[in-house]
Amino acid sequence: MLSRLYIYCAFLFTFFLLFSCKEGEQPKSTKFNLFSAIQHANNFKLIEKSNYTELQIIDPEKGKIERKYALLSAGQFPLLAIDVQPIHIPIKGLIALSATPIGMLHKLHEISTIKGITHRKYVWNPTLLRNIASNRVGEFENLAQLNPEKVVKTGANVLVFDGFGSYPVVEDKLNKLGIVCLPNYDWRENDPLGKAEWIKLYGVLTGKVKMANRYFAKVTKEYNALKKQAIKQKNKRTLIAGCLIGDLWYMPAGNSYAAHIFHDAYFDYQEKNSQGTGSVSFSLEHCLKAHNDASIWIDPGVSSFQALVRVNPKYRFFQAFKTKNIYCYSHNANYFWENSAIEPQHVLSDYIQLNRGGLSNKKLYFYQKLKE
Amino acid sequence: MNRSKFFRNTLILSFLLVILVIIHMQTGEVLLTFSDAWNGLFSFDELNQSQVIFRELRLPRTSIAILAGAGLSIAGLLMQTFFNNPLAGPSILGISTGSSLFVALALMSGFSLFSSTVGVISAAIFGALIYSLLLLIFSRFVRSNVSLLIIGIMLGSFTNSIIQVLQSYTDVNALKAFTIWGFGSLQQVNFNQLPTIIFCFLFAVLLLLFLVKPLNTYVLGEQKAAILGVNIKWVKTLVIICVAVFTGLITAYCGPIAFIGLAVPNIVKIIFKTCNHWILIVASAMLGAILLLSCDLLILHLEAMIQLPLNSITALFGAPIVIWILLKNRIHASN
Amino acid sequence: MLRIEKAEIGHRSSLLEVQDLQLLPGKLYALIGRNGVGKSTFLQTLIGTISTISGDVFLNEIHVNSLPNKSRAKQVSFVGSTFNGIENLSVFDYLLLGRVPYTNVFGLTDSNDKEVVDSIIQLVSIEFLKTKFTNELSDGEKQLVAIAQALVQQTKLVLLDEPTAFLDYENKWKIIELLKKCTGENNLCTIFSSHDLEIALDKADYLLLINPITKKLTQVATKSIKKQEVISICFPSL
Repeated sequence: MLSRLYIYCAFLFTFFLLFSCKEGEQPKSTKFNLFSAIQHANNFKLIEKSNYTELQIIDPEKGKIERKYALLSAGQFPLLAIDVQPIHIPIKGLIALSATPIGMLHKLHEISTIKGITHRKYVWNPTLLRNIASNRVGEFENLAQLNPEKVVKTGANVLVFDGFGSYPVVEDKLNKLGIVCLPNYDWRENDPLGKAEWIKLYGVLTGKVKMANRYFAKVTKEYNALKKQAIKQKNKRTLIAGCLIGDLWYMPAGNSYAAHIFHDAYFDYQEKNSQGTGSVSFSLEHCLKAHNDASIWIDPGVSSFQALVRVNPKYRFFQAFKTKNIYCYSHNANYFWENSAIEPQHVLSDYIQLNRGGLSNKKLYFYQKLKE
Repeated sequence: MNRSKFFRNTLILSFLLVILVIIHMQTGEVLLTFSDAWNGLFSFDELNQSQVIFRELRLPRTSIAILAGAGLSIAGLLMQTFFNNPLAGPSILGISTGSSLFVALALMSGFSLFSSTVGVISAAIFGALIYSLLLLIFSRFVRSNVSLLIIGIMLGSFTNSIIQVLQSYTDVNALKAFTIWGFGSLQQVNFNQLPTIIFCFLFAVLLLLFLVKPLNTYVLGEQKAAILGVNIKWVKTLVIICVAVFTGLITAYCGPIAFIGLAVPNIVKIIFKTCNHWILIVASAMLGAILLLSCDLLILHLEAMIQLPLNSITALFGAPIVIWILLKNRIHASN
Repeated sequence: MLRIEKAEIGHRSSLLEVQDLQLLPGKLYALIGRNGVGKSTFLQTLIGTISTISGDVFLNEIHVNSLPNKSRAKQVSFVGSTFNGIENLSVFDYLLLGRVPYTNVFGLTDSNDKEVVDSIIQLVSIEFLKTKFTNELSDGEKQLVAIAQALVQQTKLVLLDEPTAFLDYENKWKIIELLKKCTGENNLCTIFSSHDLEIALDKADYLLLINPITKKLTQVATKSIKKQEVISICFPSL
């Protein structure tokens, strides 16, 4: 009983905390004059219509509009085309079946808007974890087996999922229950700032446009400053990334999000010339032949050398392994997945430090050298 | 089996079925009232959440559980009698997989005609039809029950591989409905699809009425059935259509649900101890519905702890039954 | 009853030649011949499941192949050499299946059908088997029940393919005795194939002998032939 009271108090406290830093924005109309405001992101658009703003999600594969949403203010019920779904903003609650929205909503002080996630084991955010523990946030691990009633119960009216090609099969039912499904394609943005710019979408949804714009401006400024600084670098280290999944080694493709940051950090990324915005895959043999001498290796998916050898003993033959120049975020993976998208400047600063190599005494932000 | 025992067993099954339907309907986050159900059906208010939940979630889910359980069990029974093989069933002999293949092809074809409700159902039934015919041809060449089973399983695996290859080569968006198929699911059916599904189901039931008498004689073997005046060609055609409609229809909406079609008729034969297909069909339909409702209830209740796919639960009781039949046949053979 | 006109019998190639042959009601015929000489093929030709290569078979003056399935089933019944029994099928239900040619499209039986079954049960004296399951019977009982089903079918022509092959000495006699009794009482035309010359010579009215060398089928009255002559016709290599 006492513990419950304690949790309740803790909640009340966080609630007030959140409340106190809430913005005083009160959007009467949902027009934001954001028409030109989206600068880097390719996979969503905000279009001003006569009496509302239309949110368009772009299919990153084809570059065509995949879905359209009308962002409406409370009590506004205009006649909409059949392919336009209404979302009344600010939204009541959001189910985030993807990690990046959590980080973005955290920046907007809107963690309490999150009503559902995949599973607590994939969450870093402490506030959110507390909300999960007290059953205020539902867990929906399997998109294919989503139970619509459980979704309704959370009180959310928007469900954000990774458009990995797997859709909520019960989408029709969710729509009838007043829940809109929104595919998240921030992971398909190849510009790091474009990925971070998705915070504007959540800003619009939660009614915190100004805060989102302000935050994004700050990120852009810091990122570009770091980028300029990186060019001054003298030594350009050779880099490989990724690891074996099954029999194939997946590395970020030359035009991918990760390769962009590598480039901005002034790394000599060995696969910089490969085609595509996703990843490229090679056999281990190819990697041993082509990338054996890379001086630094990041993102092997584990946090210690011991674990690395356990995954595949042949990793030992790489130069980076011999010189112990392997870095990863896996010691705190959830933290990375939640926040790296919205803090690309910290990813970049980590990389710049790694590129400089051992010179810096500043601690890395996301990354850590693999443990012995 | 005497009459009173038969009525007693049927009564127990009906009672169980009704209870399970009510429990299944009431399993969820909201407790529904009778008026929610009534209004949800006859004076539907889109903004009333309870009504939406009844009409769009509970009713389709319960209905498809009943129809799928009943349909697959009947299809399994037909195949078991027709092939004179207790190990026959729509999923184990690859008919469900064949059906899936054609649904995948229809969805990927890009023609809106094929990916409409009617198009998908037609494709599923057509696929089931083709695979039933294939099995029929194979069954000409194999005498042993187990050989037919192995052929069926090979046919299924072969087709599954084709589906996987297709999946890896196509635009994922086109396969929206296809993604969870392998697991089987009762959640995909929407209220507005129910009439079509029920219509197709009733059509198959209508054909079934004309099959009961021939099936009863098929128990004695195809040759004896012919001697007793049964028109073999006609029966073959009807059985294949019936099996294809039941299997195709259900596969189109729930994916290939494993083991129900195989297990239920065998359990019914143990309980009712009869070869009369009037009894076997009715009892299989009821028990199939009961089993699938129970499986789904299990899924719904375990959801908070673990999210189980339907097929893993049906296999849980289905697989032991296959082994049991094989062992029993072995014992018989050695006697 | 049954008339055959110059028929060549076989699946694809001719196996057996039958000159004009007329079989009469009320008589028991024994079909004798070496293994593989075409006894089963001959019987199946009579039911119409195999067509003749040339020549015709008439059942009550109607060509066998022009008969619809259902009316044929009312005129010819067939018993195989073994009936293995069927799980969960009681003797009564099994016998009731003999009424299939007489029931409607849904196969529902009426009280008349049940009376027929009961009367046959009495005739064959298997009251004690009525509620048993067919797979739990002894071999002799199974064969009795199979014959009873043919009788329930109430056909004038009854064909039996080696009905005594798997029975012991006592049961062989019993079965054929039963056949003779039913043939006489119900005015049936019964043909059974057999390798038991003694029984055939003792019980059958006529013998249908197949000579494996000439491949011809001939009809002889039992009274006018001796065992040795039968052997010389049917098993000439002995």
